[in-house]
Amino acid sequence: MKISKPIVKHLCVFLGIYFSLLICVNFGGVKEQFADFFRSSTTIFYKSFGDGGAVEIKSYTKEKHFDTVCILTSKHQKNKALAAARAKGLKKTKITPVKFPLNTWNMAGLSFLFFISLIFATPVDWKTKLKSLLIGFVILYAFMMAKMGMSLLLKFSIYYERFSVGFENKYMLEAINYLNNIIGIPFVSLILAALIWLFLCFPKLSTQKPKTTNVAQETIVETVA
Amino acid sequence: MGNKETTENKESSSAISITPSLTERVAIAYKKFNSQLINRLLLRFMGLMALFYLLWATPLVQKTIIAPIAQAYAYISGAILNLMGYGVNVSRDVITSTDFSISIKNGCDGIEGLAIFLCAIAIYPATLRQKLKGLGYGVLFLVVLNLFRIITLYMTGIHFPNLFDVMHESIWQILFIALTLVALFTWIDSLPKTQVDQDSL
Repeated sequence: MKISKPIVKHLCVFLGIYFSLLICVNFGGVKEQFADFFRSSTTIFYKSFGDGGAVEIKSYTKEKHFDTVCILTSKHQKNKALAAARAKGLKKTKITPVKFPLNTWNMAGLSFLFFISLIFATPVDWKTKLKSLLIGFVILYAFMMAKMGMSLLLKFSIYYERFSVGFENKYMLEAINYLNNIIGIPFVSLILAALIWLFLCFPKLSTQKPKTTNVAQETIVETVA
Repeated sequence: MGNKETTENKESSSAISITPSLTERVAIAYKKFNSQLINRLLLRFMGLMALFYLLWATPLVQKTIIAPIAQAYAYISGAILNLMGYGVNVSRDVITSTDFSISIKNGCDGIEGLAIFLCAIAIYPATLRQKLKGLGYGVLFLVVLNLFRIITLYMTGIHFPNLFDVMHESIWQILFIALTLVALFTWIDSLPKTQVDQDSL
């Protein structure tokens, strides 16, 4: 089996675009901007989670590999702690939240970069590219939020005794853990990005008319002396 | 009068047919979508990939298939690294030395790349012989590619530890999926151009 020239050409174009964007992401501060966007988006959706759950999503600098930390508490946890403190005659009390760090780039950002590179490397018209980008971004964003929601639901359910949020049922917990194991892998986001690209760009590629050259118009008749 | 009424009725009935209802529009869009073979193939591919992940995540598959594959990758990569003079030890899915250690976990075992390739070959209209040929070349290519990935990641961890995260997350993941697609398109490209192919592409 031989790799054809057009495949090699398009692979090179894709890699060129991807690595150029990757350099911009790593050295142009895009990674930090994406982490900010992720934190603000997830805060809007999951600030209050389920029945009384509270999620705080903050920047994280303690470990190099992670950029964000999620802090989980709940109304029930606070009420329980207050009641216990009052019973002891205390004026102040402390609650123990559940914290877990995230690498937002690996979790979501990479799939956006991969998708952008795929779209720009595909030989379709600009209208299709822009339309594909828009649709793809919406789907990838929804997937990113679903992934985060699933992860939060799992964490709340694991600590159900503390938070009274999520699922107490053992089988439901196992089901959430099972689904979270699938959608939590970064590779799944990349496959999703590739599928969106195939769905949006491939039918357009097939319907594009081959370019015709104006050989007849450009041909000049020269008289041989 | 009678003629006029008939004309009005005709006009009103034609007005209804011009603006289809939402369900009709969805049905038309679905028909249009389904009329292209590439869309039907992609839907089947998505179904197979979903099935793959549902099976992949079960403890039984993880224990009996995924873990032994990860260990096999670790042993082969470890053997190659030792031939290159790195002096590593392999224990289960961990390649370790005094300087650096890596563990071949889910996502680094190349199984998903293989799954993409296998599912695509399974749904693509080709003869069994063509499929088996593609399978042979593709699996060999992806296994060698994954071994190369593990070895280069280990070497990056030893020589350029600061670049390990970038290599692991941003470079090799993308290269792996891109090269899997290249292998797939190369196989499709190698198939004789039949009517089915022309319809699909």
